[in-house]
Amino acid sequence: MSDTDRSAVPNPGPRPDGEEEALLKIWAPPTGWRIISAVNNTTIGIAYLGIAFLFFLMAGVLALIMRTQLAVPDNDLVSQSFYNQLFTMHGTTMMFLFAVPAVEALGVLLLPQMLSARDLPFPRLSAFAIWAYIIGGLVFFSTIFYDLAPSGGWFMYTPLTLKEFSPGDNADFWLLGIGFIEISAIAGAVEIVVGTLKTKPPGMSLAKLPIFAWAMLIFAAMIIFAFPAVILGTMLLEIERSFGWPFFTAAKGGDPLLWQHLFWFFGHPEVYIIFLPAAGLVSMIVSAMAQRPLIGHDLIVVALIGTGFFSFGLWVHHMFTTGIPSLSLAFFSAASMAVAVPSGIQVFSWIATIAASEKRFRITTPSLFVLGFLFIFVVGGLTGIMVALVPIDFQVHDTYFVVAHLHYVLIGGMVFPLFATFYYWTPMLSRNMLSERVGRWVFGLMFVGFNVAFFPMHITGLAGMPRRIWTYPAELGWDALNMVSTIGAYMFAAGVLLFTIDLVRRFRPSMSGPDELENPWDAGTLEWLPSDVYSTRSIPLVSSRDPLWDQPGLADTVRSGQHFLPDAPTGGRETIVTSVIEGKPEYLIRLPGPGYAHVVAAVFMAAFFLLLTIKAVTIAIACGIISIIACFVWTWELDQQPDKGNVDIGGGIKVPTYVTGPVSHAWWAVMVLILVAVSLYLSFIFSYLYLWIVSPEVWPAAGSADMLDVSFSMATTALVVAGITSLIIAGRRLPDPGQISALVLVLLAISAVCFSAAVAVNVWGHWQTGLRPTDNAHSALVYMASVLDAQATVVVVLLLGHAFARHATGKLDNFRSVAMQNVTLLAIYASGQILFGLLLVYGFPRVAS
Amino acid sequence: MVRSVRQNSSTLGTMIFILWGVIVWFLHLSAIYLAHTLLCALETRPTLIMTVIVWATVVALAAIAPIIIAPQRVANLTRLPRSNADGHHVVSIARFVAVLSLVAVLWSGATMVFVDSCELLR
Repeated sequence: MSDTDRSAVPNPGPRPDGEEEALLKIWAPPTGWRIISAVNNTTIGIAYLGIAFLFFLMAGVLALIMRTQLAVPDNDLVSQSFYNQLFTMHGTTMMFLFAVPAVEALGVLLLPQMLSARDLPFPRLSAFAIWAYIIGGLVFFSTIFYDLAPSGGWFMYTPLTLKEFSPGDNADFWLLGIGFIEISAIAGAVEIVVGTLKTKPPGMSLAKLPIFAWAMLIFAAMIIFAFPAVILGTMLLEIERSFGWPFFTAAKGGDPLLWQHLFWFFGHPEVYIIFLPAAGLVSMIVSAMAQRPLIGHDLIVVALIGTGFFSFGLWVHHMFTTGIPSLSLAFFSAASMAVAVPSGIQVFSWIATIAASEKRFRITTPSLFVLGFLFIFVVGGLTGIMVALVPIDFQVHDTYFVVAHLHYVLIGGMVFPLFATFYYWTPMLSRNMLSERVGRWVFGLMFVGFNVAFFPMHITGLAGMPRRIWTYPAELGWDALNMVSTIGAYMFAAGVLLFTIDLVRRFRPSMSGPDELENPWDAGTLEWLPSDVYSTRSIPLVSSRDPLWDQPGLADTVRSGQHFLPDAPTGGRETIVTSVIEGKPEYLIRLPGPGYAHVVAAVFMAAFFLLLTIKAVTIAIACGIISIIACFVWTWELDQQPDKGNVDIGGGIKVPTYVTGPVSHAWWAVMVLILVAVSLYLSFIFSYLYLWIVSPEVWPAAGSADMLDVSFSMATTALVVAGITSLIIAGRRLPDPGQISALVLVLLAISAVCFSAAVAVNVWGHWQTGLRPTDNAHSALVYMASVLDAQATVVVVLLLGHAFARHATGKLDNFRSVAMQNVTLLAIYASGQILFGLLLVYGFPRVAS
Repeated sequence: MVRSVRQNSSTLGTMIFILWGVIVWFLHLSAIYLAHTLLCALETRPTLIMTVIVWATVVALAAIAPIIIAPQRVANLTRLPRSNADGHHVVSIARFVAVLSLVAVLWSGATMVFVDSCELLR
C-alpha cells in the first residue's frame, strides 16, 4: 500500500454535531444496581477478570495453608481429610475458576479493543457465561467452608471417586459444578471464535491479525475440542454415581482408566489452553517494549497452531505408568518432545525481538514480568522434556518433582504474563497506571519467592516425597527443603498482597482516561487508539499489523470520526462484520443492549445444577424450566425487525443490516456449537470402542438374545427422516414477510413430534430387548447413546418451539429466517448423530462378534 | 438488504490449507495409536503392527508433502490471491506448519524402530 493510500480515510471532512453524543448515549453502560444488566465488553470483562483474580487469591490462601502444614514434619495443623479437600480445591480452583476464566476475561476485555470492534458479536452470551461462572464458582468454592468440598484431587480419578469410595455429595459438587462452569467456558469460546474471525476492522486480513487474536482464536478452538471430553467424563461419572451405570466399574466391564483418558484428553490441552493466550500477551508486550514488530511473526503463528494441535497428542503422557503397551507410550513420548519445537520457536522469537530492539529494550514492570516468565517457563519446559521420557517419568511420577514442573509451567507460563498484562493494559481501562515503583517490588517478591518455593521441590521429589501427602516423618530428611518451600510461598504471597493493595489504591475503571495514558508504551496496535464506552469513535481502515506505527495520524483521524461507522446508522448498538480472510466489510450486526433475561437464565441454570447436586430434584427441575423460559425471552429479542435496509458505513460502502447463511455470525455460532457436539460425540465413540477393547465379553455375541432388535432401529430411522424432512419442507415453504402459513406451523409441529418419538422408540426398543443400563458396561453405553441423542433432541425441539412461536407471531418468514436457519442446522446434526448412534449400537456388535 | 453475500477466498478452504499439516499429523497419531492398541489387544503378530505403522506414516508424509513442495499450487485451490502480500503470509504459514508436522509424523513413526510393540514396561 502506498503512502497516499495509507493516509486516505473513508470519511473525510468534519462530522455532524451530536454524532458522538448519540454514540455515548447508545453505548452508556447502566449505573447503580442496574449494572448487573450490563453487556458492554469492558464492564463485564473487568468484572470477569476481577472475579477470576479473587479465585486466584482464595486458592492461593488454600496453598498457604498447605505449605504451612508441610513446613515441619509430623504437623497436625489440619486434618488429613481437610488436607485432601485443600489440595483438591486448590488445583480445581486454579485450573477451572482462575486460569481459564482469566484468559477468557482477557479475550472479552481486549479483543474488541484490539480489533476496534464496538463489542463482541454476542454480548449477552458473554454476560451469561460470566454470571454463570460467578454464581457457580462462588457456590462451588464455598463448599470448603462446610466440609462438602471434593477430596479426590483436581483430576478426580476413578475408582476413588466412585460412590463406594467417595460417599456423600462432595464429589458430586465437583462433577456438576465443574461441568456447569465448563458450559460457561464453551459459551465464551463460541463468542471469541466468532468475534475474532468476524468483527475485525476493514482491511484487517487474517495475515494482519494481532498475535493475541491468533492466540485467542486457537485457545477458543482448543476449548471447543478439549472441554467436551471432560464434560462427557463428568456425565458418565455422575451417572454412575447416581444411577449405577457401570462405565468405570471393572467387575461389570467398565474401566477406571477410561476416566483418565477422557480427563487428560481435556487436561493436557488445558495446559496449553492457559499458556497460548499468555504467549500471545507476551508477544504483544515484547513488541511494544522493543518498539519494533516481532521477529518471525509468521513463525509465531505457526508455533501457536503447532502447539495447539500437538497438545492434543500428549494426553497419554499423564498415563505412562498405567500399563499401556510400550509402543503407544513411545508415540506420546515423541509427541511430548515434538511440542517443544513450536514452544522453542516462540521463545527464540521473543529473545531475538528483545535483542533487536529499535532502541534499548525498555525495562518496565511489564517487561520484568515478561523476563521472569521467560526464565521460569524455560525451566518448566526443560523439566517437561524430562518427564516426557518414559523411564524418567516412571521414577518421578506422583512425586514433588512433578509438582515443581507443573508450577514452573503454569505459574511461569500464565501467572507471570498475567501480571505483566495487569501492568501493561491497566492504562487502557483506568484513570491511573499502577505504580512502577511498587511494581518492581511486586515482581522481585514474586520472582524470588516463586523460585525459593518451587525449585527445592525438584529435589524433594527426587528424594522420593510423594504428592498429596498430608504430613511426613522427620527422619526422611525432607523437612529443610519443605521449610524453604514454605518461606518462598509466603514471599510469593507477599508480592501478590502488595500488588492487590496497589490495585485497590490506583485502579479506577474508565474508558476515557487522561491524554497521557492514551498510549503510554507507544505501542502499535489498535487497543491504544483513543476510545470511550463505544470503543473507538470510528472504526479504522487497517493496512498493516502495527497500524499505530505504520499509519501516521491514525489516532487523530479515528478520533475525529473519519474512518468507518462514525455514527449509529440503525440508531442502536452495532458493529461492522468483515470477511474472515480478507477483512472486507460484509454487513452490520445490530447488537443487543443491557438486559436481565440472560442474568435470570444464568442464575437459574446455576441453581439447577447445584440443586441437582444435593438431590433436590423437583426444585432443580423448576429452576431449569425458569432458565429455559429466560433463554427464550433473551433470544426472542435478538432477531430484530430487518427494516433498516442497507446503510452507509463510509468510503461509499453500503452494507446490509440483516443477512443469513454462511456469512452471518449466527450461522458461524451454530456451526461452532455443532463442533462442540461433534467433539462430545467423538469422545463417546472413543469410550464405546475403548470399553469394547477392554471387556469384549460383555458385548452380546452373535445369535445372542441380548442382541438389539433391529426393527426398533428401523422405526427410529423412519421417524428421524420424517422429522428432518418436515423441517426442511417447512423452511422452503416459509411465506413472504407479513404472512403466516398454517402448513409451516403443522410441519414444525410434526418435526418436533417425530424427533421426540424417535428417541422414545429407541429407548423403548432397548428396554423391550431386556437390556438394563445397570447390567454391564455395554448396556450402560447403549443407554448413554440415547442420553446423548435425547440431549440433542431436546435442544432441537426447544428451537422448533421457538421457530413455531416466531412464525405464529409473524417474526419468521422467508426473509427474516435466522431462527429457521439455526434450528435446521442443529436438526441436521442431531439427525446425523442419532443415525450414526443406531449404526454403532445396533451394527457394531454384529460386526465385532 | 441482501440474503447473503459472496466471499472471495474460500474461508473453509483457506482454514484447511493452513491447518493441513497438523490435521494430517493428528489423523496419523490417531490411526497408529488406535490400530496399535487394537492389534495388541487381539495379540496380532508384531510384523503386522509394524507394517500398519509404516504404511500410515508413508501415507501421512505423502499427504503433507505437496504443501511443502508446491504450496502455491495448493493455495490456488482456495482462491487465495497470488500476488497479494497477505496471500504470501498465509502460504508461508501453511508451509511451515506442514514442515513442523512432517517432523512430528516422522518422529512418531520412527518409534517403532526403537521399541517393541506390545510389551509392557512395568
